[in-house]
Amino acid sequence: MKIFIIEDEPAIRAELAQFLSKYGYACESSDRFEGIAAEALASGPDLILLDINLPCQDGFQICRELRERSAVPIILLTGRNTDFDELLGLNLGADDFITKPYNAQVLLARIQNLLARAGAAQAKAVLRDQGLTLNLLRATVAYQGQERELTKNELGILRLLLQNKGNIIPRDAIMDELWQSEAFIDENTLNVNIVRLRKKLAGLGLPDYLKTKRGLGYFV
Amino acid sequence: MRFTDYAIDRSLPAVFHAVAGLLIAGLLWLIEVPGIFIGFTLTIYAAAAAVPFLWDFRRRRRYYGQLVELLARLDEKTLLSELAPRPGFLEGQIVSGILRQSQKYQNDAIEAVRQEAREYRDFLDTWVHEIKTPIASARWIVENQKDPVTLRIDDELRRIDRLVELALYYARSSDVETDFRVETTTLQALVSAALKTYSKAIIQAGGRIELGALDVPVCADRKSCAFIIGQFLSNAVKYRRENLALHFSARTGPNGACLTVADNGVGIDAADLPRVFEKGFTGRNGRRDPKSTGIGLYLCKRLCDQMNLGLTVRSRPGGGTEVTLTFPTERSLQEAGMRSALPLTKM
Repeated sequence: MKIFIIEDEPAIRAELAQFLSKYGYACESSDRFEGIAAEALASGPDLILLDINLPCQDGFQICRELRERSAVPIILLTGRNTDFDELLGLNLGADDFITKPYNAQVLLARIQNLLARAGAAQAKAVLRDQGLTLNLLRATVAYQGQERELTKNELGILRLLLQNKGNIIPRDAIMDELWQSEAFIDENTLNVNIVRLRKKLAGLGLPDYLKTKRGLGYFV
Repeated sequence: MRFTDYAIDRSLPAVFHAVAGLLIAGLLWLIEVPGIFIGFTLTIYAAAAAVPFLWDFRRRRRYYGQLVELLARLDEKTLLSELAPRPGFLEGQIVSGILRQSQKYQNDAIEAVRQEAREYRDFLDTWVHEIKTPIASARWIVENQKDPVTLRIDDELRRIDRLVELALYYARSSDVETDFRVETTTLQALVSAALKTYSKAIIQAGGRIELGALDVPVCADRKSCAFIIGQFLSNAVKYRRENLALHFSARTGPNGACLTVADNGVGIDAADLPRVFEKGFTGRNGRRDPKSTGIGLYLCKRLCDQMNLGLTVRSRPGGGTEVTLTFPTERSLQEAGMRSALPLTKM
């Protein structure tokens, strides 16, 4: 599954690519913006992330060029937020539109949805570790042929820990992750969620998978 | 210009005329001119002195009257000498010439300062957007490598981001015409956006969120409203007591929708309450917290005024603070005779 990133800020480009690579997406990009539309299409991407504010050329112009030659899904990233920009972008054939600053998980969800609609993303939206498989689109965790369904909060917690495998994640960061998905929970709810998640993991035969570091947080 | 004032101002020539008249009368009397002729002479003399006096009074009164009236009508008072008619008398011409020069200098200076302020604002606007790129890059780095250290850095990055945002709103607040992007949204969406921005601060303060039924549609500029609600949250965290709790509730009436944010913090003194929207006012709570700037609520009030939103604060010392944001309906705005900030087409 390949994503081509058209973004002029090298640091953001690199981090975006690293982030997406954790979810199994291969990313390509370029820092030569002249003729970048042709270059992007030549790499045969499954999806294109396109920043509007670019040197040389307007993102809209590139969007038009891409659309003239290909039906590849395009997500526009922009700092500007006016109705006009949104309308123009969508009229030029962009499939979706995200205004900066955007949350990484929101971007990921949009990418997954768009690819799912285009027909083939399901297989890749998973995180794997030691035989455990977390399916992000179906919100399930599987181990040795068994599968458990997760609630939204449990999925969020496990995804965060898996994505930062081996690192201790403080409790406030876990709560923040859930707040970003609009679950404004307090400490007690987090405790309940952790206990339930542990129970489900134990049911799969992984009783000590989610570990506590006293006074610091959790890690897997 | 009153006649008595003018007469007092011109009393010296009047005294001279009177003395001259008396001397002439005395002379005529000495050479034995009959009294009736002395009377005639004095009348002619008095008339000759009085007519130009009155004539001069009238033209001056008319001219200065025009000037005063013009000044009262002018919004830009420094444009007075540009618009004033040329006076028909010498002193007036001299003074108006001087005034014209000095006001031209003044107007040029004002224009230069305005231009500078405009450029400064434009620069700040551009700068804020520039600085957001490295902040976003740094936050992406954390996103890819979360551990206790990077997450602490992320907390600081978020603080920087919020402070930068504050600077942006402050710079924009002095603009007469600020662009708002009004769209249909819900109170829930506005509150969520603000809560996400201040998530870490509230979580670390051990805050509890109580959300009422907020699924109320409103027409508003999302970013500005989220910023305003964010300021309430920031204050609630700053002036909290133990067990911070934030309660959000909505109410709809015929005149619009209200969002109330209530905290259980230290509250505001009754004496400070009427002044909380003043620029730079920090009050008793501010004196206890040296980080108070007295800018947050001032900016909120300004933004609300620009967007025609209502903003009220109720508080009791020790009893928490309740801030209410009112989103008027299009009709209630028109009835109040206010220019609407909401485009009709969006309704």
